[in-house]
Amino acid sequence: MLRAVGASVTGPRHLLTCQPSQDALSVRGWRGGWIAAVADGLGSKPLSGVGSRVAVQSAQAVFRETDAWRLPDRDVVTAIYQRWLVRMGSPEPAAYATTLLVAACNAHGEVRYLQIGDGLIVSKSQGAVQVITPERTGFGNQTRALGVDRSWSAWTTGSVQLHRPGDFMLLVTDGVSDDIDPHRIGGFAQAVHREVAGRTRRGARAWLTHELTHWATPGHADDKTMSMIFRG
Amino acid sequence: MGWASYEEDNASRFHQATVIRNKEHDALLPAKDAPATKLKAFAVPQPRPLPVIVLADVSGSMSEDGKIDILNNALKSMILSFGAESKLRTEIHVGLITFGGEAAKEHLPLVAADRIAGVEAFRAQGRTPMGSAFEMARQLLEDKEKVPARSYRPVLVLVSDGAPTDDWEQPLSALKGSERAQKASRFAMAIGADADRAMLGQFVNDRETPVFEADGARDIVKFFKAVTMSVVARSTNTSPDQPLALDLGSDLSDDLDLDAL
Repeated sequence: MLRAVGASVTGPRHLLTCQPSQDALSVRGWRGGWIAAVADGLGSKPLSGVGSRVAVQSAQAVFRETDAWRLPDRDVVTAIYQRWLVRMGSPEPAAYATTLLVAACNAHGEVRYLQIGDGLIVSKSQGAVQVITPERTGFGNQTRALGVDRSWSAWTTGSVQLHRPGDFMLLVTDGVSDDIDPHRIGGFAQAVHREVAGRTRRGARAWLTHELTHWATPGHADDKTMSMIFRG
Repeated sequence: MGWASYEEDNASRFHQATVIRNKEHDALLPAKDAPATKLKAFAVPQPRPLPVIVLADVSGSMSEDGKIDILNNALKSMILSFGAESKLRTEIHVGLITFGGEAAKEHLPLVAADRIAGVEAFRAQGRTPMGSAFEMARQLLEDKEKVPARSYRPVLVLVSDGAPTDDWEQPLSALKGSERAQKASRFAMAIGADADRAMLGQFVNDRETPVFEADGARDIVKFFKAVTMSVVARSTNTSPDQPLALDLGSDLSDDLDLDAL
């Protein structure tokens, strides 16, 4: 059976300044499968919190309301981007700049993923764990994003199969991914799966929220969002 | 008892008591009593670093007018200030590359400022091999173990009183062309009339902060104070991911010159 869970917490930096989270999360069932989307608004952009929320909604809408599943990746990305721009309705979309990570999984366990900007996608397919996100070339405060990048090359896209029990697709924003030991990403993803698979959806969300709230890296400040689609 | 004193009494009685503290206020305090988490083993146990790399000219000409002594004191003062800063959000890492004699030398390979016990006093001697310092800085910035991807944007500070005596154009071009190294903020200070301003102008990459002109000891101290204040402000800011801007405003020149004591 395919299951999904997600959680998002406001980071200490925004709590301290009484500002809302700039991350967004959307996990919804879809035709016997799931669509999960996480987004991280750029801290330097004033309206990026709005941009991230609209981004996850746009991704959900494109897969639900159009024939996106049958379209090439480039056309799906274009449709999501266009919908996001229309919803923003602003001549300055850069003010709403946000990253976006999406995984759409049908009832057969076939997953299509899309990513622009930092954050991390990790899959376990046929029993093998794979870090899908390319290695970052810049530093922690530099990323590509919806609203500032209009190039197809800014995106990472592809597909995987979740056929075996224990297979999963993990999406996390950079508030989490930047603070994971890069040599232990696979172990991290498997530990998350082990914990959420043994809980109800509500229990898994509560556990994820607890883990993200009490993140162990000293001085962690960012908003944190994580979502997983998995075969239980 | 009037209303004001009643309020004061309430505030003092419950000062720092959990009854009036919202848990959000504790968000950035060290997590000494934080509940155990199962993902703790996978989290990086250090705060995100903010790398600051200084390229310091220690060629023979720096011995004139006591410039090398001023530089030594300014560097020491800057590193001490970095080390004294809170590591609540960011850990300032300092790298120190000097160039004098035949080739550049790495004195500090990017270590946390609070772990630096002392900095040796440099002696001015020899030529100005600035090109090899550029090459060393590029290699350091490209080293993902020393400057991990989670670091905040690094800061590169160049200080020189003369013209390079080695091949500098190719190493500078490589530094500016490197996918990682080019993303560092680069600032420069020209000391005295003999500094190669055109070359230093090619080094800097912040339009709002051109090459800083230093005519004497006070200006050298002023520049390093500005670097210190800007880096510290960024490391303690709620948004340390913002680009670094040097505040070289007039109020700094109004400071009493107490470092000479």
